[in-house]
Amino acid sequence: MTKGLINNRGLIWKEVRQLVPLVATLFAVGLVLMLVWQMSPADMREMRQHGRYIPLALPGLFAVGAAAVTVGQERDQKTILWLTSMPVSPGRLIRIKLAVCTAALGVMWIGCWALIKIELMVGAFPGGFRFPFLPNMNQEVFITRQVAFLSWHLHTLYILVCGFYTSWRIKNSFAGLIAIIPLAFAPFAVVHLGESIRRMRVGLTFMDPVTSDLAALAVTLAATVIVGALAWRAAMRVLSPAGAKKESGDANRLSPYAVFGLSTETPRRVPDQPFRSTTLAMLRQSFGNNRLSLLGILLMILVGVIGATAGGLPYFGSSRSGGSVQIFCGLLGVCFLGVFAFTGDGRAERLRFFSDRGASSAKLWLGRHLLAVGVLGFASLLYLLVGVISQSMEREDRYYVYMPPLTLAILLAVYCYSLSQWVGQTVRGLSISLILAPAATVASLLTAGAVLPQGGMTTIGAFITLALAVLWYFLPLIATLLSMRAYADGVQGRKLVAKSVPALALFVAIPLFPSTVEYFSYPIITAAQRSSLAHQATKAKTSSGLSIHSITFQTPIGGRQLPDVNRSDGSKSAVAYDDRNFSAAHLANVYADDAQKRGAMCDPATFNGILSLASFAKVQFMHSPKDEHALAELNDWMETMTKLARRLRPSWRVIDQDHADAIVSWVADTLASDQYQMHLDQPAAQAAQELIADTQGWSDARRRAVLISWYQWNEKSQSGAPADQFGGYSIDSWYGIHRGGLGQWLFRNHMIDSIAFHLLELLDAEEQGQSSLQQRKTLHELICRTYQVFERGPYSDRARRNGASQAALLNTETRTNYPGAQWYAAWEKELTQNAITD
Amino acid sequence: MLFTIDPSNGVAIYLQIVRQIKFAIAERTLRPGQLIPSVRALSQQMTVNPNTVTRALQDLQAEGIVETLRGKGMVVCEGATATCRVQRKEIIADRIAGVLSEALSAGLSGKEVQQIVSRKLKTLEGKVASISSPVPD
Amino acid sequence: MNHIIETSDLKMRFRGCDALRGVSLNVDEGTVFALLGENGAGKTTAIRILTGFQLPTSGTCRIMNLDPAKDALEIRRRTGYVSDAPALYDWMGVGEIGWFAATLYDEQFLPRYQESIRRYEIPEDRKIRHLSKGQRAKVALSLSLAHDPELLILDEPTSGLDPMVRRDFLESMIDRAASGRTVFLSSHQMAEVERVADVIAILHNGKVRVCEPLDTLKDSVTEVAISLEDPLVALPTLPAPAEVLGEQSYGRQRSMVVRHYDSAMHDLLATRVGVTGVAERALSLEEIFIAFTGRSQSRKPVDGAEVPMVTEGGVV
Repeated sequence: MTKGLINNRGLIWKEVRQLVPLVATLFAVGLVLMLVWQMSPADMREMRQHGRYIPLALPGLFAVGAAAVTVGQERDQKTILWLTSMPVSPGRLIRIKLAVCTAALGVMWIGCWALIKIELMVGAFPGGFRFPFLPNMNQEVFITRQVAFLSWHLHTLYILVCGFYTSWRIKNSFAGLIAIIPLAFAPFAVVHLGESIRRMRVGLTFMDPVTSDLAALAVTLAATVIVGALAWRAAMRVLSPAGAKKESGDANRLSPYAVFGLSTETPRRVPDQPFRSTTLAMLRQSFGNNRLSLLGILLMILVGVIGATAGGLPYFGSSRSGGSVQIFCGLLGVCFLGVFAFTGDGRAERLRFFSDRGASSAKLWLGRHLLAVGVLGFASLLYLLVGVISQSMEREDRYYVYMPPLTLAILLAVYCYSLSQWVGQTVRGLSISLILAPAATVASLLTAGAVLPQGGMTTIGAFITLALAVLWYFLPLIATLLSMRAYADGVQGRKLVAKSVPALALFVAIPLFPSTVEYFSYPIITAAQRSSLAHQATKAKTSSGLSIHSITFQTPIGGRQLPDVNRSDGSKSAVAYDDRNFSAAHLANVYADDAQKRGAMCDPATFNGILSLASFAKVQFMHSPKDEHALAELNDWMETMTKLARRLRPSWRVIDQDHADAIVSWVADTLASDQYQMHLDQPAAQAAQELIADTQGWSDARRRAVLISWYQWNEKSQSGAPADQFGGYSIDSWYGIHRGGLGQWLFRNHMIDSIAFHLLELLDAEEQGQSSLQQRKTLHELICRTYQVFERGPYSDRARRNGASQAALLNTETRTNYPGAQWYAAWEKELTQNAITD
Repeated sequence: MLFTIDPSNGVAIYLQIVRQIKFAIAERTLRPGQLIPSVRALSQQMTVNPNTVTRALQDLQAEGIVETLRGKGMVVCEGATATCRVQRKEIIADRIAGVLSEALSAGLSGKEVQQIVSRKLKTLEGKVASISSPVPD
Repeated sequence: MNHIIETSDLKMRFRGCDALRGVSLNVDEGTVFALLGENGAGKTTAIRILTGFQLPTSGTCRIMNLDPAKDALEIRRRTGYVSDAPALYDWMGVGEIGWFAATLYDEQFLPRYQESIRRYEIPEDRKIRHLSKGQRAKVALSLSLAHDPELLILDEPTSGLDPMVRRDFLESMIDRAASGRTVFLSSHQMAEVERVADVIAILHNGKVRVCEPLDTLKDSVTEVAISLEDPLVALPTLPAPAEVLGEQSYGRQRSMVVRHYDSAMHDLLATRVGVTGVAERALSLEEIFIAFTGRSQSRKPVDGAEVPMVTEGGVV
């Protein structure tokens, strides 16, 4: 074998050198796609599902491109002619080509497995990597892992062999590439056919999955061998001396002989009147030369249209496969159409024919794209037609599939087309641009989706966003228009790419613009501020003495759980439903044996229950103020609430401060009510009045709460545990406004710091008698920007004025979601004033 | 030695080579005993077929103007100068005959021709160095 | 002497077109053989059959006593082939393509190739796509000569190249001939062919019109310029073996290109009544070629001149 290697080292080296750019491009594209996939937010589940196809698709793409590079390119440049004038037998040439391509395919596979390993190490597949199903048309055949593994690898080899066959057989390299696609699906079609036949004869019985897998594998194997033999035969025909009898002087594309073509051409029919219009002439020229490729592309688009309208996309969670593959095929066809615009007769050399005769570059550009306009227009009409028919028919899976609206389809198709034609114009090398175009489309769409946050767009305004979006959408077309002149002049390679660089920069920058805006407009606190915050927090933490215990109180209102009661015989039993007691005694029961010195914390649900019970007692009293029992009950509740408020203050949770505020407000409201006036001298009332008067410690308590809450949150998030609470507030409700990758990052790293800081600032400002408008605006920005405008939000002056303020405090929604909304609001100011005047 | 070969002037290339060598020997540009370059070198220099050069040299050898020297190549024979001078005279005589026949067929009489000849000889006397015709042949 | 190329009644028929109608050539070893013909006469077809790219419809062809259809590999090992605009691998460098080709031959290939490249002063590390047309042709020539082939086949190698490059090619051809190798040349550069060819063959309409050594050919074709009293004087037909290849009339003058002309025919014409003068002229190879391929000689029409009548053989 080594002797063979040495003998053929020149040929092997040549093939390897030709394949290297292809391998490198594929790996680069694969890496970029995987990076984009990694950056995508975790809530785009569909994308994460399909991301694992990326490294598995690369060898398949390589298989397609390898034939184009090693065979198609050599035929186009006629270097194979020169090779055959050397003492090399055709068989040797073909064998080496095939061997090197297969070896390179193996290398690709190893590389892809390495990629997957890296991804596993990075933790991209939490559930381990399982081989996905092969897209087996409308069937879902359960495939065992090993067979799937083998099948996938074998299939890429099969595609390679198909590529060889079509490249040798079809003179036009573009057409040869497109012809691979139907061939590649042939084994699946055979399997499907076999299944249908079996189903017809035997009925819908259970098919042993192992057998069906093995059958699929066997079919692929057989197909590889068959097509391999055909490819060998086609190649030998091409490289052997052109046969005498079957020689045809006509440009018969599918003839396996005469790859070099004799000069005996049949004269073309010259039309009577040449075209007067350049653009029309170019349109005519578009489908004059590469008819076969155009036909292939049209077929693909047709398949896509039918798939979208008749098959539709499956709703997530449905078991139907729908027309996903067909739609993908259609979009791929549109991408190929884009590349087609600048190949074949769109090549610079051919365009020079027109530019030498005075056609402006704009006209050339228009002329090249007219064909696409026609094709896409026709496809749209077909879409409408078939869509109408399909939707009006009664079908069993009508509710499981979703037919995308025409506008969406057109937008997507035009985007694919424009990006592909940009790639097709700039990139030299047909096979590379054919692979790069769809990949670039997918990558750009995914990136744009991942990068666009909601927040930035609202900051810069709808109009500008729309303008930017339109510009971004049409940028590829504009780019090719601008570089059309250079292209037609024959500039290629790096110089032509250089012309596209500004447009490319803009293309990449525009989707990043909203993110940038959001980042810069986000109220992030500086490192210095943060460290002072940390310093204060540490001090506060070390100086806190009181231990806190959590109150659990099972509210009996409507709940299934009934509280335990101490029965007279000393046992505990659940209270009967009808005997539900809404009195404060239960609350007293809960912490009756606790020393007064402990602080309390109370989660919002419990607090809601307590407040509701107290309010119920109040309402009962208001309803019948003469009732002694009601009065007693109310007094009980007053006492309980007073005690609770005092005990909530020392808590280090911010939400408990708000709970305490709510209690104070409730108490004040009760004290101020008419019905209670005559009972102000009772001890409960007295205690309550004392509570209200003691406004001094509130700010300190609040400040302390903010600091320690932040400290606790910081500790928790740094230790890696999921930090979903800040001072008792559930962060999840704030999570929703931060969308996109940037939003997530800001959320995780900066939001809580900023909130804590600005709460403290708010306290400082109010203490000094200044307006806290600025801080409240920032807090609004952080917490509820997307839902409302500031002026209608919970931090606005409107929400804090008299009447609204008290209502807001007692409202569960506003109390449990917006920290510090009612600090120093009207309710507090009123009480403070009353305290002063008292 | 300088050769000027014109393939399309009607004279065979080998004949041109032969004549030019003879003229060169007659002028003593090539001296007796001088080595003549090899066939390969000559054919490269003149960019003509080596067989033609071989043929020319064979002709010259047959006429005794050059001879092969063992181990060295071809040299000019002794006494070649005189032979070549005689032959040069003959060649020029042929040329003159050609001019004369042209004159006669143009209608000039013998006397007119002689007048012209003597007149031209007078003007050219002493100025042999300036030959208007560039190359003998 | 051995016939290094021997073809016998080669016929090549394409759909609707007879490219070769019975071509028989014999090329001796150690000669420079030039095949001339108009564009479309079948030269390229003949060469493709010789190099084994095409199978003839009928007829035999032997190169170095081997059949190009069967022993193509052996023939290619001992033959070099240069076409016009050779398709070399653009992305390879000059040195790289030499190394690559060397792996298909023996180990003498590379040193000879490198020496040739040095002589032509082509930088070894430059990519072929950055070479000028002439340098590419030189590289192709070097590649085809580096294995010292017994037979070198050139198919219009210098078309479109500058005189310096053509000179280089000419020198290589001469060098090969001087080493005793054979050169088979198909070219339109008459001046070069005239200098360097031993044997000429003219291909016209798929048949070989003439295949002779160059000197013999040139000696055998003469242009006869006849001055007449009267434009309507009839001239006698020339006896065999004379062959009139072309005749034109310019008023009182008539010119004929005749093959195998001799002095007897001169007398025959000169003594004819109405003939005032007969002059002969030797023709250059280009003019001979044009005569054989049947086109009239190019001339610039002067206003007022009488239109010449073109005849072929015979008289007006």
